[in-house]
Amino acid sequence: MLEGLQYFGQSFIEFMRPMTIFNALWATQLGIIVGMLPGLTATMGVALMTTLTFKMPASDAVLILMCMYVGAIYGGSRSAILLNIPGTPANAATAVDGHPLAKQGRAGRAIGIATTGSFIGTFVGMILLALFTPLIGNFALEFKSYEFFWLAIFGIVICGNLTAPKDPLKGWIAGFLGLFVATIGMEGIHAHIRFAKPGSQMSGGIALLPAMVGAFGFAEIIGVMKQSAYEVVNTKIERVIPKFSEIWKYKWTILRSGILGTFIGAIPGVGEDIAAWVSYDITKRSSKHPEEFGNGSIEGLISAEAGNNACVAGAMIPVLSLAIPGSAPAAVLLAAMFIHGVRPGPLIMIESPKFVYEVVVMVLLASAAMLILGLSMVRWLVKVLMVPRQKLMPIVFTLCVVGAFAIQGRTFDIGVMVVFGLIGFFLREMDYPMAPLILGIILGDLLDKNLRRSLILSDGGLAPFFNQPIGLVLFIATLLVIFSKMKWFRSLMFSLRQGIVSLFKRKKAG
Amino acid sequence: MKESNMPKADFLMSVIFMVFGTTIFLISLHMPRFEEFDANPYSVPGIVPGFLGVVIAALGLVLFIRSIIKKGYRWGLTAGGVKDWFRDDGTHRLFITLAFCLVYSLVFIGWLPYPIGTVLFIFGFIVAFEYQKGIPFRKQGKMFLFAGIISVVSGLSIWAVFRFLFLVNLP
Repeated sequence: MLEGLQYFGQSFIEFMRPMTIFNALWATQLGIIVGMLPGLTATMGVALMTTLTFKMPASDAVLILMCMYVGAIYGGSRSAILLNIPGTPANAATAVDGHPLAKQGRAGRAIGIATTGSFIGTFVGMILLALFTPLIGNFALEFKSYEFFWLAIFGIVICGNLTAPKDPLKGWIAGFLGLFVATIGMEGIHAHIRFAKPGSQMSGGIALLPAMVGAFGFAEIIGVMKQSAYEVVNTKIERVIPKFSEIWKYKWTILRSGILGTFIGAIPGVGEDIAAWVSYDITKRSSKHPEEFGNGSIEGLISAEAGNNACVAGAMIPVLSLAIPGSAPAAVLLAAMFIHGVRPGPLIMIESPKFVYEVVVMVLLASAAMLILGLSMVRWLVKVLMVPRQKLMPIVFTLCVVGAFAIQGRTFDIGVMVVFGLIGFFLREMDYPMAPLILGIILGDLLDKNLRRSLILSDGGLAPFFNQPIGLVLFIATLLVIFSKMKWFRSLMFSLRQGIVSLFKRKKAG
Repeated sequence: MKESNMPKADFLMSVIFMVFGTTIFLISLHMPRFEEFDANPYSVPGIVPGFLGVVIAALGLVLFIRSIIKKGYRWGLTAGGVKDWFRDDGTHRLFITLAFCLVYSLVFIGWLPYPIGTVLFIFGFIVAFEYQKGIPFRKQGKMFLFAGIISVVSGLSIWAVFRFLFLVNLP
């Protein structure tokens, strides 16, 4: 604990350079702009920014990406409030109460509340990030091949479940397709080239960044251009800085949403949109005024924003401790860390423990920059929303093309981006989520190596997959996640619960 | 996509997934086993893709059964329905976007110098969406002018930033 505080202090002092603060400010501002423009998501922003920063030192690059991530997730609340169109999927819950507030002429107040809620949410997430990453990192040292295999399967299943709540089957299919994509190219044990001609561009495999830029960038551009044009609410923006009493009134809501958001963020691949909806839903259920939700409830707005921004810090917990992303933008951050020679994963607390606390300081800087920038320049930034999509989207697409090309300098990667964009667009039209697909590409290598290693160790036996405690827990958790969406299982659980309750009641009566 | 069309889409996709999963499995069976190198039989490259192929085909089968129950095999395609889809504004915007983006990324890049290709793409994209039929060409001069300015400024700035600041050798 004391060692952790020492690392935090050292990192904080090191980051207090004018150039670092300047980087944090411009990257967060750019993130806010990216987030508030419908069609530009946090994932796309972080992916494009990775290509812009890959020649910088690791700490500067990761700081800029972190600021872009935090800024974009917050920035989406602007368009959610003013347009009723969430700038990023993470802000869908924000629109439910933020837009009615704007229509009532309280847009400034809504923006101020959303900003403060986002800041406190990120702050709660940051504290939990500092506390839990070392704990999970140390625990993950116990993981062997069997556990890593189950972790990959569990990640895909739970990500599919939560990102496709209407139809988890489609989430699982997307996840397994992603795992398959990861097997294309040279494998790591015998150096055999799978599903590609030796010597072809594809024999090197499908790179994550072009695939992500395609699935989240190009697919989004096609989707945005297909829809009808949006109109900005013509509202006067009055006082933005909220009163202290207004925030203090909802202290428990913010704290609860922050904790919930962080824990949801720590679940592999789930992301900020789910965090915001869960926080919003739980706040609504426990509220004294649930009837105000959907009609401009401050409590609803603050819970959604605290939840989605806390998720950013939460998503970094599995990135740092297990090298598994908690959300789609965190997946890009993970890839960026590898590009910069940082190796997150179970060994991070042994190899570079200070880096964990550097990330904590980065989150702190990003959230402070977000608070300052979010409460200032509000009127000026609203003008950005006036830019018509037909002028913005071609520029964004040229950035997608350069982004896909820049890392390895291969035109083949532009083709990968285009193919994944088309696949992503058509799959999304049919309700297949993209997050499990991308998580599958990331976890594919982990699954491939660990399934084969496990089978070699057990000489083909399946028993060790089920008789190790951690592996067994992950297997049962995977089954529970799959069954939880099935009607017969839910009715079985309900009758079991009823049975237990009546048993206790009888005992009490006796 | 309309909710009523979803079972039809699911039916089509389930067949694709079943065929895709089975193909992966069959290709995996034919992958080398390195017996001549005394390789451990559980380390062979086909194990994991084979496993994934089976899972994808199985999930496709579940989707197939579900779409059959929801009568997704009844496509009910009519000439009128197809015509309506082609006449829809959203479909027009979709095709224009796809045409411009595909020509730019797959033809212009590598064939034309990057800044020229980018300026042409941005200009063409803006004009394609802002040009109004029925209004004389000369009365839309302002739109052409703005499209020209935006495309030249943004195209050249992106090229200069990546080429000289980030030292990326653009195609």
